[in-house]
Amino acid sequence: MQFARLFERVQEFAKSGVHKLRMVGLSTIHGVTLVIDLQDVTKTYRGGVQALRGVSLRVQSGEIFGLLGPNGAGKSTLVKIIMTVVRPTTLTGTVLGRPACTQEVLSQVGYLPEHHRFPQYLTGRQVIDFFGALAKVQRTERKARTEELLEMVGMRDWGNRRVTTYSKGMQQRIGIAAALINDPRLVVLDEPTDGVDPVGRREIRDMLLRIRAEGRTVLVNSHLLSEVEMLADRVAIINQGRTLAQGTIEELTHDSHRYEIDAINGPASIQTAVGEVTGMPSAAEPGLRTYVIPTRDPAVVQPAIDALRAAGITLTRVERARETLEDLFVRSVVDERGRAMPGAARGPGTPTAPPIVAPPRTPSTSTSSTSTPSTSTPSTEARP
Amino acid sequence: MTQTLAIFLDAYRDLNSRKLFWLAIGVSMLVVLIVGALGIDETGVSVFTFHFDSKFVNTLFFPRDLFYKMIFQNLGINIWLTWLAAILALISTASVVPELIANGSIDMMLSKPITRHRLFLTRWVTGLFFAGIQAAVFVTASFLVIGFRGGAWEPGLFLAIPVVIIFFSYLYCFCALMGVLTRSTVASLILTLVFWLVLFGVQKAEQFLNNGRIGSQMEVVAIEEAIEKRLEKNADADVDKLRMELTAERRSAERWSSGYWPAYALVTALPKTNETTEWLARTLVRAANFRRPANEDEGMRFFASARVKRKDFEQTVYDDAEERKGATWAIGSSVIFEAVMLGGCVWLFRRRDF
Repeated sequence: MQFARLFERVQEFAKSGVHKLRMVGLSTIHGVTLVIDLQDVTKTYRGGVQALRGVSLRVQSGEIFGLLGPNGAGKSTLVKIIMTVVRPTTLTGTVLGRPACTQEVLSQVGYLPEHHRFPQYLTGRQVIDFFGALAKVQRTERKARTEELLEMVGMRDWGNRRVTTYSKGMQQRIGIAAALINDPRLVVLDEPTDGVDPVGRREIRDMLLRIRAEGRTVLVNSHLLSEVEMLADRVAIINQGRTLAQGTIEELTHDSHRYEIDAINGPASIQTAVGEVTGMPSAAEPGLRTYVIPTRDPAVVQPAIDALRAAGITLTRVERARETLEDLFVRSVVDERGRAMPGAARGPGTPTAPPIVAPPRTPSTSTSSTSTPSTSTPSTEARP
Repeated sequence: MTQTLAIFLDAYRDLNSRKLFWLAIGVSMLVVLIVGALGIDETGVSVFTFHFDSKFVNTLFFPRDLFYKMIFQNLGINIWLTWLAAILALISTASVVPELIANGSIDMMLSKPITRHRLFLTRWVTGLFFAGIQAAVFVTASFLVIGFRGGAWEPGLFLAIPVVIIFFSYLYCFCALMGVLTRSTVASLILTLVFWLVLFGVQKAEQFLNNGRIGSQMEVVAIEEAIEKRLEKNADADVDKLRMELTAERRSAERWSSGYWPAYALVTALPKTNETTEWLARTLVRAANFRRPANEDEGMRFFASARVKRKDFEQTVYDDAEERKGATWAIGSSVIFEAVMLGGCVWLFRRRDF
């Protein structure tokens, strides 16, 4: 009798699916599964160059995560540490639930490095097959999957040509296919659209969305902000070896929501619900003033509009605005004097602002663009 | 196993794409074909259908099989496999390590679930492929020529294949280390050739000192015998001059010995390219009924004298090599050097950030 009850409980547990996460040992935080959970990653190269000074990174399962930063910020070093190409000085955390930077993780990770170099004597098909074999994919599976992937990246008709005959875009496609040959749960792409024409970039973007739709997690390292803004569910901005900001674009730009009102011959300042707002005269159009009201609540703006209209002032524009990813990026990596902060450096480096880190979103509550930071999701209009 | 096979298949594709690989194989075959085109009979030699009478090169002096074996030994082993083919192999494979660790290439490899030491060592072994295939083609073709044209089927000939691979591996481990250190194909190739030249010089110096040591010791023994003989004939014979010669020769022998043993220690520590091929030549005498290799070192005559005949001296040097410079010394100690070099490579490769 007791055995029967125990059996029932085991069956219930198996049906619940909870055990799956526990079995693979993925980290969770606030109920969100983390594919990459790294803390305090530091890397000091020989000669004392500090590439990373305590980076933390949390990439959630099934998302496209953008890693941003200026040149020399430490992005590539971080990616290479995840892929065991570079050894960290210090590191705690996990990748796919296992200790980071270990061989056992790599069989479930696909990687396309920046400036990759395929053996020139191989065809596209052979490249995919070779890297599949290195990832311990068995021959029959490799063969079938190579065909699937060639089809997916649109290279089926070119698969038997040597990679030396390929354009940059074609090489990137083959690289993406090679990264996917082992059916990875995590795909790490370093500048996947670098050097690719706009049409090729769009195709690669579509591929990444398809990869995410298959349930894989994608970590994209890129300096093309517009690309990342279109693709990424969440981003991290790294500079001088530190994580400056991390979260959804919505979360990170939450405080920058504002309304802008353009008025012809408006007063120097107007009274609003959030206090007095000074209008900035337009340099392009004489007599035009722009009032910026820092709020995301349209109700707050209405009294100001009413007051201006009552005074007979003509309004030419009322627009809801917020920071773009580029604004956020520039704000994060530029110092008070407007100069770009240097990347990796010797010694302790200049102190930077405390990191902007948004708590991970909970998938079940990610519905509204006006929700609180802890439950918000990137605006759907940001996606292609 | 999947990974190892993939790396070997990749190495084959790499070799296959190189013109130099096919050129080397082609030249190997051509050399053997030319040897196969040579004929020998009682009156002289022939090349294809052209016959040349000779009083010395004919089957009365050389049995037919020995003629082809000598060509294999002198041309095949001493010149082709251990010099020209080895240089071609080095040129072809010097890029293996620098290309492995090149940016963009190494990232792809290290991001796969294969340990660094396994990746490096497997790639290194594939580099030996070139020398192996080249030696296998040449030796097999030579085996057929000696069999069909010379009438002697000598499977012992195939011993040359592993020995040539081992010989090449001495140089190739150094080449790999230079590749890891410099990341440059040209630099690692040049440094390896310089290293080979140094090895050649050190081994030649050791051989020279050994010849001097043996010659001097033989001279001492010969003088002692001469004194004994003279005293046997006449107990009151004047042997003062001989005794003075003996004292001087003993001093000379001590000097040769004191110079020789440090050189011997140095050669023991280093890989022995010359000694390995010489060991192969000596071994083929037993394994494939080759004639004992003639010592063509004209320097030998300097160590012969009125008391020490050149033939006796050469025999003693040969016996000394047989006794002291066997496979354990010639190959074993070289492999230890190789292991140290490869250990260094792997250590550097494992520690490096790419």
